[in-house]
Amino acid sequence: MITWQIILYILYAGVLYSLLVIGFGFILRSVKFFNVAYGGAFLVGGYMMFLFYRVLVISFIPAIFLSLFISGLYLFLSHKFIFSFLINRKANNFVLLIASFGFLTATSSVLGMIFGSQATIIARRLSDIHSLNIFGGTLNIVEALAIIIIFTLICIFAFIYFKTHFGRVIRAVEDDSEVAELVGIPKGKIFSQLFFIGGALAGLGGIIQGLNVGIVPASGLLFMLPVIVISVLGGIRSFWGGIIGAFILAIAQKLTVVFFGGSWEQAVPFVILIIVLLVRPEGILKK
Amino acid sequence: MNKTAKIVVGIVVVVLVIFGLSSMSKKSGTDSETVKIGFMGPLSGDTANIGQNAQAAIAIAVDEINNAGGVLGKNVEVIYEDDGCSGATAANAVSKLINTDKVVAILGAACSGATLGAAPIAEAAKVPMLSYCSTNPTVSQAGDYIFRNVPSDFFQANYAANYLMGKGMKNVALLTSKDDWGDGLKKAFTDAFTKAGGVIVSSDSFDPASKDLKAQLTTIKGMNVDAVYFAGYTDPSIAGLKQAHDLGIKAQFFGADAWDDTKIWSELGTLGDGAMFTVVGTNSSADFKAKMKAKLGKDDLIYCSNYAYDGLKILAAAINKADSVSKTAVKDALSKIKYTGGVGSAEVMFDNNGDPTTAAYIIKRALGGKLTEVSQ
Amino acid sequence: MEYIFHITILISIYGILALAQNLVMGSAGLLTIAGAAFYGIGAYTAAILATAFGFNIFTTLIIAPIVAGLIALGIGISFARFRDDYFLLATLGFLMIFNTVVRNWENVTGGSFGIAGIPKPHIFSLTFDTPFSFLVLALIVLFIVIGICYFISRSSFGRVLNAIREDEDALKIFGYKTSTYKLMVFVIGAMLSSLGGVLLASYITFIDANLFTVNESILLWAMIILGGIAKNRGALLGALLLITIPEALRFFGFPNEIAGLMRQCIYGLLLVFLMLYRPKGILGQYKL
Repeated sequence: MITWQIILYILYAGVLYSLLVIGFGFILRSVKFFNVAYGGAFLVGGYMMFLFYRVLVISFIPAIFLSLFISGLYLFLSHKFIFSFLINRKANNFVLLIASFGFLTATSSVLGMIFGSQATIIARRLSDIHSLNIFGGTLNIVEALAIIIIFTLICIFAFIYFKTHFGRVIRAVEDDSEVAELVGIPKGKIFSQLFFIGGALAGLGGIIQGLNVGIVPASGLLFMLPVIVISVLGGIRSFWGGIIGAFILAIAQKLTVVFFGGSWEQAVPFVILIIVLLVRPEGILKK
Repeated sequence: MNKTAKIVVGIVVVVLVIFGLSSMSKKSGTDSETVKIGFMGPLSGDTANIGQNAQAAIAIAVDEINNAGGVLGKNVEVIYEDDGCSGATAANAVSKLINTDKVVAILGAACSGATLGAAPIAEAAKVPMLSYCSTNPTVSQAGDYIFRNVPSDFFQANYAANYLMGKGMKNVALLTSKDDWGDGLKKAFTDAFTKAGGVIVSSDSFDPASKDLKAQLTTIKGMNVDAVYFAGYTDPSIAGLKQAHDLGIKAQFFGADAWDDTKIWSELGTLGDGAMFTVVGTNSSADFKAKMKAKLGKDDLIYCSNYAYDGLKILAAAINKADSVSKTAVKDALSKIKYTGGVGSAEVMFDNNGDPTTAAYIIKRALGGKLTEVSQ
Repeated sequence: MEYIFHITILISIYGILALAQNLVMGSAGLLTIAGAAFYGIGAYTAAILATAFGFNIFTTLIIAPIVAGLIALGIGISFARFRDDYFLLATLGFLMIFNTVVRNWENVTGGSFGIAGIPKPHIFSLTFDTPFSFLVLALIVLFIVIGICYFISRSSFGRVLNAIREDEDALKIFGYKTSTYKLMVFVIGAMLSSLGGVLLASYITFIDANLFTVNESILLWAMIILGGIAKNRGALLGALLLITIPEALRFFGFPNEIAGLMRQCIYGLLLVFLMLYRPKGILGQYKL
């Protein structure tokens, strides 16, 4: 019974991490730096949903699409006005990392000024989020829907990535953007599109988090650290590796809490990270 | 060094010199139009909500004091500084308040780390400092000029332990915030509860920034306890109580004074039904909640803000009692003060360590998003 | 005046940390985010020895670098095979684990209660308890660190480090054992950082885990990048600016409600604009 409940929670944590790592992975594999501004899109998505759904009382589905559009746009614009310049200048990864960190910090503080620094809960009434009985275990409706939707999204993105023309273009840019450009693929345009998609995916993560437990403006970096770890864990170059990494981390975190207590939860991703780096630096799935 | 670099360095040096001169040429606070009191709290970072909420509470106190004639016939002016909840930044903030603003007294800080980082500087400069939310036991020994009006964790943990025992709840699980506040409550509660004959079935904690307590709660669910002593601040408490409801945990949830935050219960609505917590008994707290709601436009009152509001009034009372802006006189007045009618506690007196001597607690229960006092 | 002394003390402490960070990251090009961890190891060594065993802070100024150096040696050897981003991630892991251990190991580090009542340094009958006297001490330590950094950057060791940063593979072909050089500079950097930690612990008299976080390490990065990476003068200028600018902003008169967030926002935007328009920093020559 307890075991089944923990499995359900691991499933939810795993799919939420997977969602974040898919979007992050698209950006990471194409521009090849740890774009922590991705955490900003996570926040923007959640806060826009709060604004549209709870403050402006727009109905649920349109509010989600509007929020996803804005969080995508946020990352798209960050690329257009900041990162594309740096990438064209062939700036060092480190410069890009610092710039994205600065952008995340500025985003968090602006959101804090507008919405306040306390946790913001998107649900109009928390009691509307019913819990469902799943073979003796429990998940609430947000968690259950998130699992279904994210599984669908994983399948859709896997299909796009591996089976469609657009997917081949993305993979070409990921393999070598210079060569891709030589054969006529508009590199800048693809980057922009990937930033938009990534932003929307991060935004969806923010919405789910905000609906379920609430989001805080200062939590952007806190969310980015495990996502970075997962992407390395699974192998930076692999689509499926990221998803496997997400589940490994979810399992390890929950089991740590069960066996060692909650105060060690934050260190778990990093213990795993160091072990993986030492034993298998190319990640679990190599390509 | 190339030309641009020279220009940049030049500008920087000029700005710094102007800043240095202007900071030194500021007028001293004692002979000017107002009586200056410094405030420190986290205004940025993870815990900014605590500082910002306290700031709003203090603004209310300032208006009330000034409308009632101010202090020593002058208006009170509060200078707000950010301590980022860290000892090093707090040292900057307190040094600025003491040396350039020449404040008479300081209200701060909230985080124990910030209070303890600032305390030696205030102590050396002989400026009285009153912390409104640091419960770390080492604050008691921080110095003669260091006071706090937030009661030690010992009182409420003791009260909670005895109440639960009295209700026949002998098996309790602990779930506490992993910071000095939560760890302090955990220790005090464990001592008091085991002494009274109860059993601590499990003891777990969570990161203060975390809002996912599902794994902790799932293990608690498997243990068949009578009550869960849950010491968390607003955000993890909302999440944790919601998750406990999802899991269908039937045990009694029992919290600490941080739960006296209207936001928790208005967000949770019926989900919070039955949860209980200890809080210092006062008559005026409902009135104060209404004032905060009018100020902020929403239900949002973090429990530190009660003490911050009282703290400013206590400082003002001490300055009036000392009848001077001499810092030593204010400190002496503070140590002898007996302040009544506060919103955080009914009566405040300080012992030799600068801690409140007593605190009288009551128990509140949530029902349908509203709080009612439990008669005993 | 005391306030100016106080800020100058903090500039000296952060100057030491920035110089150490610059030695590792600027001179040798090793991307490390563990700066705050070694800073913390220094601070905790001093705090524990001084409060629990009654050591003089001056003694801990010698012991802390040894402790930090030994830990750095162990970490450096284990992480020797990683390069660039991977080294960065491994050091991030080390910092996070260090922070969690400090937060949980209550018997030794005080856990979330931290360690309070750390004494001021004293020698013979002289106690460095006023801001001015502590400033003198901090400046002496700073000048020693500056001396070490300049000595290293002008020595043949420093030139090899610069060469490693530019082209490690080429240097390997010439028969240099680059991993040994990298390990040495990592250890030296850790030892110097720990000095800053000792000074901080003794000056603030209270430390807890919240002082040694990722954000602190990123602040050190920002200092050396702003000042100009791979330049000792740059690291000092960066420390000077990033300590004084937030302080200067206290006088700027933002509306109270958003002052703290406004300062944070300006810090973030500053990093973005710096990266866009002058990534080599104010005094820098080495282009990132």
